[in-house]
Amino acid sequence: MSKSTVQTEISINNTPEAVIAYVADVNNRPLFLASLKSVSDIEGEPLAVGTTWRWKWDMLGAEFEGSGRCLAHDPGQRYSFTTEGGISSTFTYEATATDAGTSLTIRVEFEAPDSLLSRMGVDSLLESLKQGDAEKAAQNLKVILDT
Amino acid sequence: MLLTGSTPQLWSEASWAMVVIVIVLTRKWSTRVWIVRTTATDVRERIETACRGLFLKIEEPADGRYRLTVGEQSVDLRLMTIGKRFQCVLLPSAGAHGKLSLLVDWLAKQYPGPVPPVRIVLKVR
Repeated sequence: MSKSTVQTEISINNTPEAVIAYVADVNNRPLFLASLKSVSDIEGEPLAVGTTWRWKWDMLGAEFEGSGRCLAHDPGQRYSFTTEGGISSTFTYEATATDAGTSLTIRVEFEAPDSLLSRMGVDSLLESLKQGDAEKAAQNLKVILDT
Repeated sequence: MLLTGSTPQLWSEASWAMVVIVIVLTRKWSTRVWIVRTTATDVRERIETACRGLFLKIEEPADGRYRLTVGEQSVDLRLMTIGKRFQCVLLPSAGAHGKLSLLVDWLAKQYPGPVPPVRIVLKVR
């Protein structure tokens, strides 16, 4: 397995509670994650730890499918979930109160099977795509949540 | 310029002008007009769901006409039924508020084009 991490940070003019509550709701995710086509088969409360769902992710015109599971949810502070389906990843959203509202950090740790990377030769491309996705998601969250 | 030429030239120049206008309008409208195969109820429910998630105010001042409001800005989205199973969605113009762009992006994911995507389900060995 080849492991990588991308991270981005953005200031949002809203409370940390509102920001984390929004990103924690599975149903909201396709609205701000551009490459996430859909989530379905949600089992459990949308904001609760242990909730699982199915996802479809678009990358370079190909559609990847897998499952997701909420790992942690500290209201107003932190939300984390993991995805499985070949390219496994962990998304962590951390909110800190600031004078301007909230500083939100999005960190994505992901690992793809070496066999896949060597076959496709896309390890650096995958990292730049993930970085781009994280930055775009942060900007979209600012558009949605800025008051 | 069109009025000064002889008749054949006038027709030729008018034809080219018409072609240019049609191309410009087609390019402009092709990104704003979608034909999707579904019911009006399905489109309406999806739009309302997205508006809730994006904190967009939605009103229906007339049947099939939706007014989306964000802050001081309002735009119209129209929905027309074609036959039994097709809906024509006239989207707000580009350059609208970022939330409206996100709504359009989200709708595009709900109604993919006619070419099926390559589907990959990876199994970890």
